[in-house]
Amino acid sequence: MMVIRIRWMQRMLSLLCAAAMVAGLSACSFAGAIGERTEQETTVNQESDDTTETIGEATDSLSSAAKEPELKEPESKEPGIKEPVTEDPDNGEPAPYDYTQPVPETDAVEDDYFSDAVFIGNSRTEGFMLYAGPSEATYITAVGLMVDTFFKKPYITVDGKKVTAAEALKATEFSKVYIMLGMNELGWVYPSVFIEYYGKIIDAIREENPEAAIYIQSILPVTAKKDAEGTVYNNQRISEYNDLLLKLAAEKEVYYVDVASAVAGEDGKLPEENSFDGVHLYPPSCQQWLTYLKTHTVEETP
Amino acid sequence: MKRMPLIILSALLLSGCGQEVKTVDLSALSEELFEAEVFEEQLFEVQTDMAQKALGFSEEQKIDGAVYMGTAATAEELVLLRAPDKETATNYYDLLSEHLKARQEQYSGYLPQEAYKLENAILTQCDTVLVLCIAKEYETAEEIILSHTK
Repeated sequence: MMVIRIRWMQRMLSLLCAAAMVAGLSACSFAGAIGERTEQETTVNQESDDTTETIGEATDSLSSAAKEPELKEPESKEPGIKEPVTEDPDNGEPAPYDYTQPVPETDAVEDDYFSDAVFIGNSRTEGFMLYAGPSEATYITAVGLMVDTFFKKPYITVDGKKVTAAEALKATEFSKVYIMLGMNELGWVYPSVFIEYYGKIIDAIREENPEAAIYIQSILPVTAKKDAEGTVYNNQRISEYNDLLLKLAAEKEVYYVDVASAVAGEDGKLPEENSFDGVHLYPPSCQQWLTYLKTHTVEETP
Repeated sequence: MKRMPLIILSALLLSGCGQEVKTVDLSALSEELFEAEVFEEQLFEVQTDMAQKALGFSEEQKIDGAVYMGTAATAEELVLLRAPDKETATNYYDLLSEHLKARQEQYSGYLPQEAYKLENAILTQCDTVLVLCIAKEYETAEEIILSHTK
């Protein structure tokens, strides 16, 4: 009810803006900011206590959390980030990488490509590690890991001590990061909060290593049987989240790798025979996942 | 219940857990557990280097034995290890205890219906042999494990 009322107020403000523009005034951006901020505050109140705590700690940085991430024109790169370069077919000049698209297919790399990679994820990534993961890679995984608990729950063991995933990342040397999170957040009321936290993880990675190549992996689909259960774990919701993740990749200028397409059947769903519970993958699908990663890499300029 | 082919465990280990010294055939033990269908989910054998990571062992703490895990759809696991000596075995026991505790924490929020399996997990050390079994039919699993180790 609160959100509906606020949205109604935003619409009213928009109408006032339009009227003001007609009158030659320019107060629209101000009015929009009020509306966005108010909705964010409502979002904070309606999230779980666990999530609210951290959001509350970073209210300023999350002041835009309620609005959908917007695709931005590439601006100046952050210092130290290497930009992969492709050639513009028209003039042979280097063309900037198109972060709005999934990473295209490339020649396969060897396992040692992942020797300086960190895989961050939940139980699905844990399965990937067990049954297909390159042995030299580092894995920061936990059953039930989410974008908010990444910063808060001491799920990871480092040198015999329990730490958060964020702290584990700080203790790791890496040049590439593969993230797959989102399955456990499908039930969140506001996907924008999920995206905001996801963005904070990317920021945290860049803080540790500004030159790291960061790959967002799409959320894998569920089986038709799971899809039909009528829960939040459905392919429509997963698709919505993946759309948001692709936008986030473009906004943050990181790579989006569509591994979901590697394990999905022709109908876009996880084949029934490839999962015990409709969510988690049997080893052959984990191998398909790895094969896809090995054939979808971005070569960065030295 | 299907399972992946077992590696041949050549471990016929001396055990002093019971009243008399007894050999523990880890291969036969795992065979019996799978045949008794104590696990709900199909388990797969995990390569030892990945098993080390999953169990929280360091690179130096080499695993000798077999580790079977599922897809994380359940909390089920079967870990059969032998350590080079008793002291190392005690260290491994502590690591497996920590692993079990971590699993309990993670699954309590993720899949609470798996909690009973973790609460009734069988973790035992007999001389240099260690067994961790997290199973749906935990009572049957315990009987089988005790019959091999006591």
